[in-house]
Amino acid sequence: MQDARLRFNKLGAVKYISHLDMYRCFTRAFRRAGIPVWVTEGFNPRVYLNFALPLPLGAESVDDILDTRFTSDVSADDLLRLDLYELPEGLWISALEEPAFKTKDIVSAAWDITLPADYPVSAASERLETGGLTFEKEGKKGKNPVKKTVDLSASIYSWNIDTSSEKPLLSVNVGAGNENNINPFRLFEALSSAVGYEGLPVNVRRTGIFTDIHR
Amino acid sequence: MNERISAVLPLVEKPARYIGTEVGCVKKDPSTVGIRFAFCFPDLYEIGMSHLGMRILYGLINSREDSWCERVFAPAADMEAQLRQRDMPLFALESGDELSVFDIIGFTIGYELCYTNILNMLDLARIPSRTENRTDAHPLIIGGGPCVCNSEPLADFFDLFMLGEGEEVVSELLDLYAACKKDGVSRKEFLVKASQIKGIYVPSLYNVEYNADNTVKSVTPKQGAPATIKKRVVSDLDNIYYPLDFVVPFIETVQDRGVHEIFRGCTRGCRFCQAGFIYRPVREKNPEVISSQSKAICKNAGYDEISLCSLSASDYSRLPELLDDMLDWAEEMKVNVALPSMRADRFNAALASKLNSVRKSGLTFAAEAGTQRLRDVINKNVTESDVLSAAEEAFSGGWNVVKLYFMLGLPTETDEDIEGISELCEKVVDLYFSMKDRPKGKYVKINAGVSTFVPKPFTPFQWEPQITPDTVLHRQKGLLQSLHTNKVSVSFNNSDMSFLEAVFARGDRRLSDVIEDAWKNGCKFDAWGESFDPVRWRAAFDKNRIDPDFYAFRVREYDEVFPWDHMDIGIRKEFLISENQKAHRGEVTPDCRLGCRGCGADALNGGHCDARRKA
Repeated sequence: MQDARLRFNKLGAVKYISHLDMYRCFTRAFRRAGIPVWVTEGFNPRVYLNFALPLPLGAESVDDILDTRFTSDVSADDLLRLDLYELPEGLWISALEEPAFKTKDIVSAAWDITLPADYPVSAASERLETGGLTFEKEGKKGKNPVKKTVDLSASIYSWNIDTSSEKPLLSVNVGAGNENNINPFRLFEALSSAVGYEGLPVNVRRTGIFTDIHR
Repeated sequence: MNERISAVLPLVEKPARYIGTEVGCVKKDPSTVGIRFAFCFPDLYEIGMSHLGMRILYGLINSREDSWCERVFAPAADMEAQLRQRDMPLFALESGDELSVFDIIGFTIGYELCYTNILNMLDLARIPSRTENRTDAHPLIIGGGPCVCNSEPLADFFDLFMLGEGEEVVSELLDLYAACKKDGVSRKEFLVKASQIKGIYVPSLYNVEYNADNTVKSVTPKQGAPATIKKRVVSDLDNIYYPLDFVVPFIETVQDRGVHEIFRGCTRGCRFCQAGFIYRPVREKNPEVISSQSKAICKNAGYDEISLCSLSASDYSRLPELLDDMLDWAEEMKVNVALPSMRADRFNAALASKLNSVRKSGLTFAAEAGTQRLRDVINKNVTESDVLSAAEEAFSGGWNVVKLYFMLGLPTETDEDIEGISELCEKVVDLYFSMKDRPKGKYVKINAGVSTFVPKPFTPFQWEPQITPDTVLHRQKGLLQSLHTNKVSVSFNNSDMSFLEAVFARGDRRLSDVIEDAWKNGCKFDAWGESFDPVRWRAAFDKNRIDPDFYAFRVREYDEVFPWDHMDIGIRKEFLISENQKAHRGEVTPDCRLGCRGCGADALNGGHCDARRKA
């Protein structure tokens, strides 16, 4: 048995497929390529495949993490070859490694958010500098829906706006994992509403997953 | 990806429906192909992706160097709203290109309630829906599929239809198209040439005249078009193209598994069933071919289930041999082999448990009618003891939930027949409790699905009326009142939908205005309970002063000219008339395999029919 951590990239149109869709993509590809994945025992056998950190629908990701288990040894080569004809365009495995940390130890993630060309960058920088950004989160108290206000400033560990190209790039490092998980789309909405901008980001991409807080 | 499309995707549900990019999708350089073909399925992605006809034609057309076939599905309401709001035309999945740049747009027409979706998709593509309003600059609009056996209600919208099986005729059509495109032949001239290809129906080349009573007087061809259009039949299924791989969908689609046809046609002759007649004559594939192709399909797509589909699949003459062949590799590859349509008189628990996927979904048997008298009328040669022994086999095999299909509104039906439905269901329940080896600690559940019968063209019942809404209600009530156990649960289908289906199944060209007006009123996705709106349909009929009852409730005489009489599916009208008469006398016609009845379908296959083959 080989516990394996796979690093994968999800870029382009495939950013619109869900976790369940990805699970199906990978299990089919493994099946097709004859990769010996372990299947859980029990009434509902399924291929053991766990995504370390949820990725919102519509977000790209590089160097993302997928944990699985092989019943006999599989080489990195076998896995890297998968993308040639087994996985859809934009989804591919980039590395095979031994798990160096547990998924429950994940505390932060880095995101690149490409902003529209007309985004009020200086106002945004000011807001990020002063802090106090919030957004409403829907939750439940028993059976009653409640709205919770989440204060983002505590969870934005670092940020930078690069204006060297036509579309500014907002890079942030924010809370992630079981506690304090920040959704980048909600972050963008909060920032936009604070600076009076209406519209969607051009692109959202997760660039890293960490077990410590990078400032 | 096209920027306009990317801008919309974050705003809709299940954006993966619209991105293409799936493993197995075919991308070509448009500048290298002479023919761009858009295969349109007039319903959602999730429904259309399991369509076998699409898999076959997509692969077949893409295997030609001169052509590129892409897929188009009906956008969901939220995507449609975005497209209209942003003035974006409907696009194909592989290229993202708008439909108006394609050479040919082909619709598969599988059921009557998709007609407004066809018009809606043409409108979203910014293509005029009426043939008379299109020019040579517009794509050619073609249609295929089971509803083409009576395509008259759609005649004003399509340039041509392909009657019967598509594998050979689509190649012939594309060859002609390529040659005509090269020579700069006009659309009108092309259509006249196309009408000479066997199986191709060009509706604009036929004049329809009506009698004073609105029945059809005559259908007259012009410009050398054939008087009748002969259905295309593939003789050698073993050597015809079969798709061994297809696009693998991202999202969950209905019936997401490998599919294999094991034979075409049916020998049972159930009198209500259109499919059983229009796919004749019977042609079986060889077990070796089925097995090796199925293995390749599962291997290529990574499927863990393969479904052996055909009408009455358990009638396949070499079934034990086939299953042994398949279970050999299937067990090793961990693939489930499914045999969905098993008749009650052929059900065998040992067989079913070999195919253990059936355990997941439960068992369904079609009893169709509640009394033997009525079952004989419809020629469903299944007896009560067949149903009970199938149930017994099921129960001792470990199943405790069984679904039984019935219809109401069958010809000669009486209240007694309806009571017969509850009696039969109750007998199955009683059987369960009488069995010592029934599943321990589980209650039995009989789910009776009861739908309203729709008379269809090319069946012995094409002369029969559908029952009226009042009678439907009366019979439904009667059924519920005659049930005395809570172990049987009954569900009825939407009989307004069945009514509309009946109108279009035996409709004529005068209905095109109604379809157009219904669409203008906002009708679409008519097969979906949540979108079907009988009030808007009624308004469309009223506006055009057409009484839909004329199509659904009228009893036809044997000498009436039908709007679809110029379609030749092989079966002789005399045969259907004699079956109709036998039905009214309560006489059965045994299975073709026990002796050929001379229906005539073999004439379109050089006189061959595999039903004559001894098992």
